[in-house]
Amino acid sequence: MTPRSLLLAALALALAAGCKSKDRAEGPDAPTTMRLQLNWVPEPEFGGLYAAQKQGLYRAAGLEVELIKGSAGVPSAQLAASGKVEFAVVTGAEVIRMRTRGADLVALYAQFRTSPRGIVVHRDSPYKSLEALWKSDATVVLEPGLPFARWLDKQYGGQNLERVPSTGNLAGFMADKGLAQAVFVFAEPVELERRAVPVRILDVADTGFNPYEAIIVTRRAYLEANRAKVKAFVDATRAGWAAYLADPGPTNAVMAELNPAMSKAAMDTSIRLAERYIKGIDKGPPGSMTTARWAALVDQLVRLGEIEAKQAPPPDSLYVDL
Amino acid sequence: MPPSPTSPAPTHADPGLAAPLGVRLDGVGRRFGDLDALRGVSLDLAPGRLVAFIGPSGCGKTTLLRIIGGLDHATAGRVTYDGGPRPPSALSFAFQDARLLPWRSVLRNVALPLELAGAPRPQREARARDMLARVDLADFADARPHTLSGGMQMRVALARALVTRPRLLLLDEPFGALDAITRVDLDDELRRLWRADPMTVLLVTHSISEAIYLADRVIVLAPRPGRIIDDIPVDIPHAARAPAVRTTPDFVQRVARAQAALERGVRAAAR
Amino acid sequence: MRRLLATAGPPLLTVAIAVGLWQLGVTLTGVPDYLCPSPFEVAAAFAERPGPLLAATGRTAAATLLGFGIAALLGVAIGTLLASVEALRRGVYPLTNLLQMVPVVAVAPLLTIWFGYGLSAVTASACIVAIFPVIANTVDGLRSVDPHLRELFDIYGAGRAQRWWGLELPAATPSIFTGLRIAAGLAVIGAVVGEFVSGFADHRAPIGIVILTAIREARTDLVFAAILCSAAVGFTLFGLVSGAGHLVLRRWHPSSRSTP
Repeated sequence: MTPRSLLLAALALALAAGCKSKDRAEGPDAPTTMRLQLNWVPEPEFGGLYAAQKQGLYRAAGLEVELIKGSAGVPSAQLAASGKVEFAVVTGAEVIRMRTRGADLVALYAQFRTSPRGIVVHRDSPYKSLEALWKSDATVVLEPGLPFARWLDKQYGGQNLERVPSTGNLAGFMADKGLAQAVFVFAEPVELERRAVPVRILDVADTGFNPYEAIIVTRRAYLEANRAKVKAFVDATRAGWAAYLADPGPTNAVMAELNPAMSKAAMDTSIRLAERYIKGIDKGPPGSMTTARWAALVDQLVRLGEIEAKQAPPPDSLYVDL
Repeated sequence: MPPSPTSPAPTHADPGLAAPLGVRLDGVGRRFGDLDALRGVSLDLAPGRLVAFIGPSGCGKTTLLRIIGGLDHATAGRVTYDGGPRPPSALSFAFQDARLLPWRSVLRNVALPLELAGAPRPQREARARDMLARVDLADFADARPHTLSGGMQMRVALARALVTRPRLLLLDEPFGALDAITRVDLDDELRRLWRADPMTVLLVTHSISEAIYLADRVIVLAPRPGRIIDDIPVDIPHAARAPAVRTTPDFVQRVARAQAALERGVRAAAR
Repeated sequence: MRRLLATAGPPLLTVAIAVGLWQLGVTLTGVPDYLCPSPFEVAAAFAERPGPLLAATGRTAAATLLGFGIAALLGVAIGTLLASVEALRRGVYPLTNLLQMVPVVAVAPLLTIWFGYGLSAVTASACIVAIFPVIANTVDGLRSVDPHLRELFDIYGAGRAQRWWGLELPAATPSIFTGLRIAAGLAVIGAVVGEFVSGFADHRAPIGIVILTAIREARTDLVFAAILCSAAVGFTLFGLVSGAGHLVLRRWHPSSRSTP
């Protein structure tokens, strides 16, 4: 807060910016080592990636993929946009937002083709739908800044709703029968069931807001320079997901080691719930996307005031089908 | 607070309450562990007199003063005041350092003892102003101590010591840190204050000349163990004591006697 | 006026140079705004919607001020108790050191459980972070009261209350203000961290939530603007405490005496 520390901060930022401009990945000798920044801790939503790594599918494709654990608030989109990592897992809205701010991110693989976002309430809660909840004065625990909450506001008002930030733990929800909490529908509810807290899951996708989630992105410049390798990565990832869904147990054991907060048993239950969100409603091979779905999300973000119409990127430029 | 004979007199001109206090010491001793700081000190200090204590460092003169003032206790013998126990709030102290509260004005520093005794503000401030006028610092009532010279700070400390109209004033090398000229000024000031207000004054000093210049009686102490080695009466009339008195034969003779006693004491300790 | 200029001038110049270097750095490196915005972009982010940002700042300021106020009163009270009671000082004071090692991020969820969401929990977070320097400096200040002055109060038979109001509190005041100045800066940090967990994420959002939201939205410019708003709260509180300290101490304490 002192002027001196401000000056130091400014210098540090200038240095960081200077480092950034030396872009390793763009050189002619692009390394076969690729880093993938996750946006959460190892859980079944990344099962296909860990399966591909563990079962040597990446290595068989001539790639050394390093999966970097994330946490709440990790700026994975910025890390990918700055070239600090080759790939990152981000949300659909993040891809669009970063594009409007001049970053050249492009989506490669949508791990969830139906949005697994939802709100849990206690099973004896009077709120049986998101509409009823959003028109009430209940308290909802949710990470601020997520567009689905604005979508629900737009649909149902939500003026009387009390919102508090999420810390990623469930203690508050378990202690307070009146609380509602934003979740990934295949993750937290499993933990709650395990602790004998009966819940009701309210799916956000059912309200018409259904963006791709847990999307793997890269920079377009990197893609253009390494198209074959990126394709190999996407193919290996798709194979990894197939392998994981066929037999999730071994991969879950690996992830449970890396994430002591979630047991293998919980992961085994979780992936069964996740499966229908991974497959999604679209046809086409796993992970592939459509212009129509991206266009719908762009349109919704414009209507929510998240981005301006004139900034809106062309939907078909937001993803590639390799 | 109920009025009591020992609480500060309400006005300056109130002679009856401030009768000087006599002090008697019977075989007073003080040990600090194995060290005999004082041994077998017996003295009868008449009320209303100014008595000086001199001696080399380590002779226990300050310890003796602190025991009389109740800041320390004797490990042997006893001290009585007019034949009884130490009466509360009859004593005042002044030390080598002025010990003024830096956050208080000069006036409120002088008024502090009255404030602690529970005197109401108008009364204690009137008394403090009066006291400041008597040490020629009336114009500095609102100043902070740090803006005053060392000599002025010492006069504030004297004013504070006297504001309670003490029956016994204990001075521990009060002018020891001051330059010679300031010191002589303050000696005269002290005498003037003492003559104006009847009280017993006990003065610890390391200056033989100051002791004889001011006191009716000079007690010479010797170290290890601290004990009385001479007791010199100074019968030069106070009216005759001006700076020039220091060159008179009477004065010089007493200085020589005190000097001899001091040297005797040091020699005895060295053996 | 000239004195104000002399005091405020050098730091303002430093800030101006820092902002200039910052702008220059961003312009020269061409770093995109989602990684590091320029001062101009930060100002624009603020100007875009100043109302909500100022309202959020106000909420954070309220919690900061409350937390600081409680930390000040409680800290001086606890410090006094610890300094006065030997057994407590030996037994408890070393443990209060633990307070400053408490990672408030870890405690914040508990504060939510104990105090509920909103002002109370955020205030508690600000208070926990701010109270240690107040306690420590109060204890230090009280324990370093000049023993000669203590003796003076002994001589005149001062009671416990007289000793406290007349000697110990004023003597410890410079030290207490040192603690309060440190606490002023810390209180904002405690409040914002508390808000990350306990602030309302709706129309009552404080700065901490604005920061979380802006991070999630990749609005780095808004993150910076919000950080500057919370810094302004801390700076203002620090200034007020320093000013109050100067007013209280200027008549006597060397730290506040104007140099000729």
